[in-house]
Amino acid sequence: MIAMFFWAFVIGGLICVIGQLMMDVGKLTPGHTLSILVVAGAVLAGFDLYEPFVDFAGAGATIPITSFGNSLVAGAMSEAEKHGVVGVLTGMFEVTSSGISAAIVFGFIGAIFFKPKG
Amino acid sequence: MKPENYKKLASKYEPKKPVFKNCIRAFWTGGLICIIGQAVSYFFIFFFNFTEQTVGNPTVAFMIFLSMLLTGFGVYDRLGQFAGAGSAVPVTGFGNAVISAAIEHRSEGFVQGVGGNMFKLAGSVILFGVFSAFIVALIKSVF
Amino acid sequence: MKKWALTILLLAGCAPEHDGTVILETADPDAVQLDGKHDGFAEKIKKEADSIETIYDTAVIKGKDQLLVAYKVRHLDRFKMKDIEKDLDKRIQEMESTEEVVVSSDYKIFLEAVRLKEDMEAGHLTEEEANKRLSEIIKLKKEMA
Repeated sequence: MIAMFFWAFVIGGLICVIGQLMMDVGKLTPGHTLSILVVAGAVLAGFDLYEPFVDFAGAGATIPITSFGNSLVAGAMSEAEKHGVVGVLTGMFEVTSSGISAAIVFGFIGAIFFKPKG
Repeated sequence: MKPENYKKLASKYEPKKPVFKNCIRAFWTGGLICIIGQAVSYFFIFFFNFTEQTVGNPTVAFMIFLSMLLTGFGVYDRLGQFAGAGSAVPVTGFGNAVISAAIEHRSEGFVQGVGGNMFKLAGSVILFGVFSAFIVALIKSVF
Repeated sequence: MKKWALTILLLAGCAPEHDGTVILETADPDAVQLDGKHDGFAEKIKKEADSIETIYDTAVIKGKDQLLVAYKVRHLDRFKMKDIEKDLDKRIQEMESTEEVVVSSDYKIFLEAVRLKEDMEAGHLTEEEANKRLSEIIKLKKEMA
Protein backbone atom coordinates (compact mmCIF):
# COMPACT_ATOMS: atom_id res chain seq x y z
CA MET A 1 0.00 0.00 0.00
CA ILE A 2 2.85 2.37 0.84
CA ALA A 3 4.49 1.40 -2.45
CA MET A 4 1.23 2.23 -4.20
CA PHE A 5 1.22 5.76 -2.79
CA PHE A 6 4.86 6.21 -3.73
CA TRP A 7 4.37 5.14 -7.34
CA ALA A 8 1.12 7.07 -7.65
CA PHE A 9 3.11 10.15 -6.68
CA VAL A 10 6.00 9.46 -9.06
CA ILE A 11 4.02 8.42 -12.12
CA GLY A 12 1.33 11.05 -11.62
CA GLY A 13 4.01 13.69 -11.13
CA LEU A 14 5.90 12.60 -14.22
CA ILE A 15 2.80 12.82 -16.42
CA CYS A 16 2.35 16.39 -15.15
CA VAL A 17 6.01 17.15 -15.96
CA ILE A 18 5.41 15.92 -19.52
CA GLY A 19 2.49 18.34 -19.70
CA GLN A 20 4.62 21.16 -18.28
CA LEU A 21 7.37 20.51 -20.83
CA MET A 22 4.85 20.57 -23.65
CA MET A 23 3.68 23.97 -22.44
CA ASP A 24 7.10 25.49 -21.64
CA VAL A 25 9.37 23.96 -24.25
CA GLY A 26 6.80 23.04 -26.90
CA LYS A 27 5.06 26.42 -26.45
CA LEU A 28 1.64 24.81 -26.57
CA THR A 29 -1.44 26.29 -24.93
CA PRO A 30 -2.92 24.33 -22.00
CA GLY A 31 -5.84 23.37 -24.27
CA HIS A 32 -3.51 21.84 -26.87
CA THR A 33 -1.46 20.11 -24.18
CA LEU A 34 -4.45 18.48 -22.54
CA SER A 35 -5.94 17.43 -25.87
CA ILE A 36 -2.67 15.80 -26.91
CA LEU A 37 -2.41 13.99 -23.56
CA VAL A 38 -5.93 12.62 -23.93
CA VAL A 39 -5.17 11.38 -27.44
CA ALA A 40 -1.94 9.83 -26.12
CA GLY A 41 -3.94 7.98 -23.48
CA ALA A 42 -6.32 6.65 -26.12
CA VAL A 43 -3.45 5.50 -28.36
CA LEU A 44 -1.66 3.78 -25.45
CA ALA A 45 -4.92 2.02 -24.61
CA GLY A 46 -5.06 0.89 -28.24
CA PHE A 47 -1.79 -0.98 -27.75
CA ASP A 48 -2.94 -2.35 -24.35
CA LEU A 49 -0.17 -0.37 -22.67
CA TYR A 50 -2.23 1.79 -20.33
CA GLU A 51 -3.81 -0.91 -18.20
CA PRO A 52 -0.45 -2.19 -16.84
CA PHE A 53 0.29 1.38 -15.80
CA VAL A 54 -2.95 1.51 -13.85
CA ASP A 55 -2.03 -1.78 -12.14
CA PHE A 56 1.34 -0.36 -11.24
CA ALA A 57 0.63 3.24 -10.26
CA GLY A 58 -3.07 3.25 -9.29
CA ALA A 59 -4.31 6.81 -9.04
CA GLY A 60 -1.01 8.01 -10.52
CA ALA A 61 -2.35 6.68 -13.81
CA THR A 62 -6.10 7.15 -13.33
CA ILE A 63 -6.14 10.74 -12.07
CA PRO A 64 -4.20 12.44 -14.93
CA ILE A 65 -6.34 13.34 -17.92
CA THR A 66 -4.59 10.66 -20.04
CA SER A 67 -6.78 8.10 -18.31
CA PHE A 68 -9.81 9.78 -19.88
CA GLY A 69 -8.63 8.61 -23.31
CA ASN A 70 -7.87 5.18 -21.88
CA SER A 71 -11.27 4.66 -20.33
CA LEU A 72 -13.07 5.91 -23.43
CA VAL A 73 -11.28 3.20 -25.42
CA ALA A 74 -11.86 0.61 -22.67
CA GLY A 75 -15.60 1.35 -22.63
CA ALA A 76 -15.83 1.24 -26.42
CA MET A 77 -13.90 -2.04 -26.58
CA SER A 78 -15.90 -3.83 -23.91
CA GLU A 79 -19.11 -2.92 -25.71
CA ALA A 80 -17.59 -3.80 -29.10
CA GLU A 81 -16.89 -7.31 -27.81
CA LYS A 82 -20.57 -7.75 -27.07
CA HIS A 83 -22.21 -5.96 -29.99
CA GLY A 84 -19.54 -5.69 -32.67
CA VAL A 85 -18.53 -2.48 -34.40
CA VAL A 86 -21.70 -0.62 -33.38
CA GLY A 87 -20.58 -1.03 -29.75
CA VAL A 88 -17.61 1.24 -30.44
CA LEU A 89 -19.99 4.17 -30.59
CA THR A 90 -22.48 3.13 -27.92
CA GLY A 91 -19.96 1.96 -25.33
CA MET A 92 -17.71 4.99 -25.44
CA PHE A 93 -18.99 6.65 -22.26
CA GLU A 94 -19.62 3.45 -20.35
CA VAL A 95 -16.58 3.88 -18.09
CA THR A 96 -15.99 7.60 -18.38
CA SER A 97 -19.47 8.82 -17.62
CA SER A 98 -18.73 9.66 -13.98
CA GLY A 99 -16.07 12.26 -14.82
CA ILE A 100 -18.22 14.18 -17.24
CA SER A 101 -21.46 13.87 -15.32
CA ALA A 102 -19.71 14.94 -12.10
CA ALA A 103 -18.21 17.93 -13.91
CA ILE A 104 -21.63 18.94 -15.25
CA VAL A 105 -23.49 18.47 -11.96
CA PHE A 106 -20.88 20.12 -9.77
CA GLY A 107 -20.31 22.84 -12.36
CA PHE A 108 -23.98 23.73 -12.20
CA ILE A 109 -24.09 23.57 -8.41
CA GLY A 110 -20.94 25.68 -8.31
CA ALA A 111 -22.54 28.26 -10.57
CA ILE A 112 -25.52 28.49 -8.25
CA PHE A 113 -23.59 28.88 -5.01
CA PHE A 114 -20.37 30.67 -5.90
CA LYS A 115 -19.78 34.17 -7.20
CA PRO A 116 -17.17 34.80 -9.89
CA LYS A 117 -13.81 36.03 -8.60
CA GLY A 118 -12.08 39.13 -9.82
CA MET B 1 -5.62 44.58 -21.82
CA LYS B 2 -5.16 45.08 -25.58
CA PRO B 3 -3.71 42.15 -27.53
CA GLU B 4 -0.61 44.05 -28.67
CA ASN B 5 0.12 45.12 -25.10
CA TYR B 6 -0.25 41.56 -23.97
CA LYS B 7 2.13 40.29 -26.61
CA LYS B 8 4.72 42.85 -25.60
CA LEU B 9 4.35 41.87 -22.00
CA ALA B 10 4.49 38.19 -22.79
CA SER B 11 7.66 38.43 -24.86
CA LYS B 12 9.28 40.42 -22.10
CA TYR B 13 8.82 37.56 -19.69
CA GLU B 14 9.17 34.63 -22.05
CA PRO B 15 12.96 34.25 -22.43
CA LYS B 16 13.59 33.72 -18.74
CA LYS B 17 10.87 31.12 -18.28
CA PRO B 18 12.22 28.90 -15.51
CA VAL B 19 11.47 25.55 -17.15
CA PHE B 20 13.23 23.45 -14.55
CA LYS B 21 11.57 25.11 -11.60
CA ASN B 22 8.17 24.83 -13.29
CA CYS B 23 8.73 21.12 -13.84
CA ILE B 24 9.62 20.51 -10.20
CA ARG B 25 6.51 22.37 -9.11
CA ALA B 26 4.34 20.47 -11.60
CA PHE B 27 5.87 17.21 -10.43
CA TRP B 28 5.15 17.51 -6.77
CA THR B 29 1.76 19.19 -6.96
CA GLY B 30 0.60 16.74 -9.64
CA GLY B 31 1.99 13.85 -7.64
CA LEU B 32 0.32 15.11 -4.49
CA ILE B 33 -3.06 15.32 -6.21
CA CYS B 34 -2.59 11.71 -7.32
CA ILE B 35 -1.75 10.69 -3.74
CA ILE B 36 -4.98 12.32 -2.58
CA GLY B 37 -6.77 10.40 -5.33
CA GLN B 38 -5.17 7.17 -4.15
CA ALA B 39 -6.21 7.88 -0.56
CA VAL B 40 -9.77 8.59 -1.70
CA SER B 41 -9.93 5.34 -3.63
CA TYR B 42 -8.65 3.32 -0.65
CA PHE B 43 -11.25 5.07 1.45
CA PHE B 44 -13.99 3.86 -0.91
CA ILE B 45 -12.50 0.35 -0.95
CA PHE B 46 -12.40 0.12 2.85
CA PHE B 47 -15.74 1.59 3.75
CA PHE B 48 -17.89 0.93 0.71
CA ASN B 49 -18.40 -2.00 -1.60
CA PHE B 50 -15.99 -0.96 -4.32
CA THR B 51 -13.17 -3.03 -5.76
CA GLU B 52 -10.00 -1.67 -7.33
CA GLN B 53 -11.73 -2.23 -10.66
CA THR B 54 -14.85 -0.24 -9.87
CA VAL B 55 -13.43 2.42 -7.56
CA GLY B 56 -12.36 4.74 -10.40
CA ASN B 57 -15.80 6.28 -10.93
CA PRO B 58 -16.53 7.38 -7.35
CA THR B 59 -12.93 8.57 -6.96
CA VAL B 60 -13.10 10.78 -10.02
CA ALA B 61 -16.49 12.13 -8.98
CA PHE B 62 -15.16 12.96 -5.51
CA MET B 63 -12.04 14.62 -6.89
CA ILE B 64 -14.21 16.81 -9.12
CA PHE B 65 -16.34 17.65 -6.09
CA LEU B 66 -13.18 18.80 -4.28
CA SER B 67 -12.23 20.76 -7.34
CA MET B 68 -15.61 22.51 -7.24
CA LEU B 69 -15.01 23.66 -3.65
CA LEU B 70 -11.45 24.79 -4.38
CA THR B 71 -12.53 26.54 -7.56
CA GLY B 72 -15.45 28.23 -5.87
CA PHE B 73 -13.27 29.65 -3.11
CA GLY B 74 -10.67 30.77 -5.65
CA VAL B 75 -7.99 28.40 -4.33
CA TYR B 76 -7.61 26.33 -7.48
CA ASP B 77 -6.78 29.27 -9.72
CA ARG B 78 -4.06 30.38 -7.33
CA LEU B 79 -2.78 26.81 -7.22
CA GLY B 80 -2.77 26.81 -11.01
CA GLN B 81 -0.54 29.86 -11.15
CA PHE B 82 1.93 28.10 -8.92
CA ALA B 83 1.72 24.54 -10.23
CA GLY B 84 1.07 25.00 -13.95
CA ALA B 85 0.52 21.57 -15.50
CA GLY B 86 0.65 20.02 -12.03
CA SER B 87 -2.87 21.24 -11.40
CA ALA B 88 -4.09 21.27 -15.03
CA VAL B 89 -3.27 17.69 -16.04
CA PRO B 90 -5.06 15.80 -13.21
CA VAL B 91 -8.79 15.31 -13.62
CA THR B 92 -9.32 18.06 -11.03
CA GLY B 93 -7.98 20.45 -13.68
CA PHE B 94 -10.65 19.23 -16.07
CA GLY B 95 -13.22 19.82 -13.35
CA ASN B 96 -11.77 23.26 -12.67
CA ALA B 97 -12.04 24.20 -16.36
CA VAL B 98 -15.72 23.24 -16.48
CA ILE B 99 -16.66 24.69 -13.11
CA SER B 100 -14.80 27.99 -13.43
CA ALA B 101 -16.38 28.57 -16.86
CA ALA B 102 -19.80 27.83 -15.37
CA ILE B 103 -19.28 30.23 -12.45
CA GLU B 104 -17.79 32.96 -14.61
CA HIS B 105 -20.65 33.08 -17.10
CA ARG B 106 -23.41 32.86 -14.55
CA SER B 107 -24.25 36.55 -14.91
CA GLU B 108 -25.37 35.84 -18.48
CA GLY B 109 -28.06 33.52 -17.14
CA PHE B 110 -28.25 29.82 -16.61
CA VAL B 111 -29.14 28.80 -20.17
CA GLN B 112 -27.08 31.14 -22.32
CA GLY B 113 -24.35 31.72 -19.77
CA VAL B 114 -23.76 28.61 -17.69
CA GLY B 115 -25.17 26.08 -20.17
CA GLY B 116 -23.58 27.61 -23.20
CA ASN B 117 -20.11 28.19 -21.80
CA MET B 118 -19.57 25.28 -19.44
CA PHE B 119 -17.50 23.31 -21.93
CA LYS B 120 -15.80 26.30 -23.49
CA LEU B 121 -12.40 25.27 -22.15
CA ALA B 122 -12.89 21.56 -21.55
CA GLY B 123 -14.76 20.90 -24.80
CA SER B 124 -11.65 20.28 -26.84
CA VAL B 125 -10.48 17.63 -24.38
CA ILE B 126 -13.79 15.81 -24.76
CA LEU B 127 -13.83 16.25 -28.54
CA PHE B 128 -10.33 14.94 -29.17
CA GLY B 129 -10.64 12.29 -26.50
CA VAL B 130 -13.84 10.90 -27.92
CA PHE B 131 -12.79 11.14 -31.54
CA SER B 132 -9.38 9.54 -31.05
CA ALA B 133 -10.91 6.84 -28.85
CA PHE B 134 -13.44 6.19 -31.61
CA ILE B 135 -10.70 5.75 -34.21
CA VAL B 136 -8.53 3.61 -31.92
CA ALA B 137 -11.40 1.37 -30.84
CA LEU B 138 -12.66 1.08 -34.41
CA ILE B 139 -9.25 -0.07 -35.66
CA LYS B 140 -8.90 -2.41 -32.71
CA SER B 141 -12.28 -4.03 -33.11
CA VAL B 142 -11.94 -4.50 -36.87
CA PHE B 143 -8.50 -6.14 -36.76
CA MET C 1 -2.12 24.53 3.52
CA LYS C 2 -5.72 23.42 3.15
CA LYS C 3 -4.52 20.68 0.83
CA TRP C 4 -2.21 19.28 3.48
CA ALA C 5 -4.93 19.27 6.07
CA LEU C 6 -7.14 17.46 3.59
CA THR C 7 -4.53 14.83 2.81
CA ILE C 8 -3.95 14.09 6.47
CA LEU C 9 -7.68 13.91 7.04
CA LEU C 10 -8.12 11.41 4.22
CA LEU C 11 -5.17 9.30 5.28
CA ALA C 12 -6.37 9.31 8.86
CA GLY C 13 -9.74 8.14 7.58
CA CYS C 14 -8.18 4.85 6.49
CA ALA C 15 -5.90 4.26 9.44
CA PRO C 16 -8.05 3.57 12.52
CA GLU C 17 -9.90 0.60 10.99
CA HIS C 18 -8.08 -2.33 12.57
CA ASP C 19 -8.18 -4.54 9.49
CA GLY C 20 -6.46 -1.81 7.52
CA THR C 21 -3.23 -3.54 8.40
CA VAL C 22 -4.27 -6.36 6.05
CA ILE C 23 -3.41 -4.09 3.17
CA LEU C 24 -0.45 -2.40 4.82
CA GLU C 25 1.55 -5.49 5.62
CA THR C 26 1.75 -9.16 4.83
CA ALA C 27 -1.25 -10.74 6.53
CA ASP C 28 -0.68 -14.36 5.53
CA PRO C 29 -4.11 -15.56 6.73
CA ASP C 30 -4.67 -19.30 7.18
CA ALA C 31 -6.63 -21.01 4.46
CA VAL C 32 -10.32 -21.49 5.22
CA GLN C 33 -12.27 -24.56 4.23
CA LEU C 34 -16.05 -24.35 4.27
CA ASP C 35 -17.09 -27.63 2.68
CA GLY C 36 -17.20 -29.68 5.88
CA LYS C 37 -14.20 -31.80 4.88
CA HIS C 38 -10.91 -31.65 6.72
CA ASP C 39 -8.56 -32.89 4.04
CA GLY C 40 -6.37 -29.77 4.11
CA PHE C 41 -7.02 -29.12 0.46
CA ALA C 42 -7.34 -25.34 0.88
CA GLU C 43 -3.98 -25.35 2.65
CA LYS C 44 -2.48 -27.16 -0.33
CA ILE C 45 -3.86 -24.54 -2.73
CA LYS C 46 -2.36 -21.79 -0.57
CA LYS C 47 1.05 -23.46 -0.67
CA GLU C 48 0.86 -23.73 -4.45
CA ALA C 49 -0.05 -20.04 -4.81
CA ASP C 50 2.68 -19.01 -2.36
CA SER C 51 5.22 -20.92 -4.42
CA ILE C 52 4.89 -18.39 -7.23
CA GLU C 53 7.78 -16.00 -6.83
CA THR C 54 5.97 -12.79 -7.77
CA ILE C 55 3.22 -13.38 -5.19
CA TYR C 56 3.91 -12.50 -1.56
CA ASP C 57 0.62 -12.89 0.26
CA THR C 58 -2.36 -15.14 -0.32
CA ALA C 59 -5.78 -15.76 1.18
CA VAL C 60 -7.60 -18.94 0.20
CA ILE C 61 -11.24 -19.71 0.92
CA LYS C 62 -12.72 -22.96 -0.29
CA GLY C 63 -16.48 -23.07 -0.21
CA LYS C 64 -18.93 -25.83 -1.12
CA ASP C 65 -18.63 -25.28 -4.82
CA GLN C 66 -16.46 -22.20 -5.17
CA LEU C 67 -12.79 -21.61 -4.55
CA LEU C 68 -11.44 -18.11 -4.00
CA VAL C 69 -7.76 -17.29 -4.16
CA ALA C 70 -6.90 -13.67 -3.36
CA TYR C 71 -3.28 -12.65 -3.64
CA LYS C 72 -0.92 -9.69 -3.61
CA VAL C 73 1.75 -9.17 -6.24
CA ARG C 74 5.18 -7.69 -5.52
CA HIS C 75 4.93 -4.08 -6.54
CA LEU C 76 7.50 -4.00 -9.30
CA ASP C 77 5.85 -7.06 -10.85
CA ARG C 78 2.47 -5.37 -11.05
CA PHE C 79 3.20 -4.50 -14.68
CA LYS C 80 2.85 -8.22 -15.42
CA MET C 81 -0.34 -8.64 -13.44
CA LYS C 82 -2.28 -10.23 -16.30
CA ASP C 83 0.35 -12.93 -16.91
CA ILE C 84 0.61 -13.73 -13.22
CA GLU C 85 -3.15 -14.12 -12.99
CA LYS C 86 -3.19 -16.50 -15.97
CA ASP C 87 -0.33 -18.55 -14.53
CA LEU C 88 -1.96 -18.89 -11.12
CA ASP C 89 -5.33 -19.72 -12.60
CA LYS C 90 -3.80 -22.46 -14.74
CA ARG C 91 -1.92 -24.00 -11.82
CA ILE C 92 -5.01 -24.15 -9.67
CA GLN C 93 -7.24 -25.48 -12.43
CA GLU C 94 -4.78 -28.34 -12.82
CA MET C 95 -5.09 -29.21 -9.15
CA GLU C 96 -8.83 -29.15 -8.92
CA SER C 97 -11.67 -29.01 -11.41
CA THR C 98 -14.78 -29.76 -9.36
CA GLU C 99 -15.24 -26.18 -8.19
CA GLU C 100 -15.56 -22.81 -9.76
CA VAL C 101 -12.12 -21.26 -9.34
CA VAL C 102 -11.82 -17.49 -8.90
CA VAL C 103 -8.43 -15.82 -8.57
CA SER C 104 -8.08 -12.12 -7.85
CA SER C 105 -5.31 -9.65 -7.10
CA ASP C 106 -7.79 -6.95 -6.10
CA TYR C 107 -7.11 -5.42 -2.66
CA LYS C 108 -10.82 -5.34 -1.96
CA ILE C 109 -11.21 -9.07 -2.52
CA PHE C 110 -8.23 -9.79 -0.29
CA LEU C 111 -9.63 -7.53 2.41
CA GLU C 112 -13.06 -9.18 2.27
CA ALA C 113 -11.53 -12.65 2.35
CA VAL C 114 -9.63 -11.77 5.53
CA ARG C 115 -12.72 -10.16 7.07
CA LEU C 116 -14.66 -13.36 6.35
CA LYS C 117 -11.94 -15.49 7.90
CA GLU C 118 -11.82 -13.29 11.01
CA ASP C 119 -15.59 -13.38 11.43
CA MET C 120 -15.47 -17.16 11.13
CA GLU C 121 -12.84 -17.41 13.83
CA ALA C 122 -14.73 -15.07 16.11
CA GLY C 123 -17.66 -17.46 15.75
CA HIS C 124 -20.05 -14.94 14.20
CA LEU C 125 -20.90 -17.14 11.26
CA THR C 126 -22.28 -20.57 10.55
CA GLU C 127 -20.75 -22.47 7.68
CA GLU C 128 -23.80 -21.81 5.56
CA GLU C 129 -23.64 -18.06 6.15
CA ALA C 130 -19.94 -18.10 5.38
CA ASN C 131 -20.63 -19.83 2.08
CA LYS C 132 -23.13 -17.12 1.26
CA ARG C 133 -20.60 -14.40 2.11
CA LEU C 134 -18.10 -16.16 -0.14
CA SER C 135 -20.41 -16.12 -3.12
CA GLU C 136 -21.10 -12.43 -2.44
CA ILE C 137 -17.37 -11.70 -2.58
CA ILE C 138 -17.10 -13.60 -5.84
CA LYS C 139 -20.02 -11.65 -7.25
CA LEU C 140 -18.24 -8.44 -6.30
CA LYS C 141 -15.11 -9.61 -8.06
CA LYS C 142 -16.97 -10.29 -11.30
CA GLU C 143 -18.58 -6.87 -11.31
CA MET C 144 -16.27 -4.88 -13.53
CA ALA C 145 -15.99 -1.17 -14.13
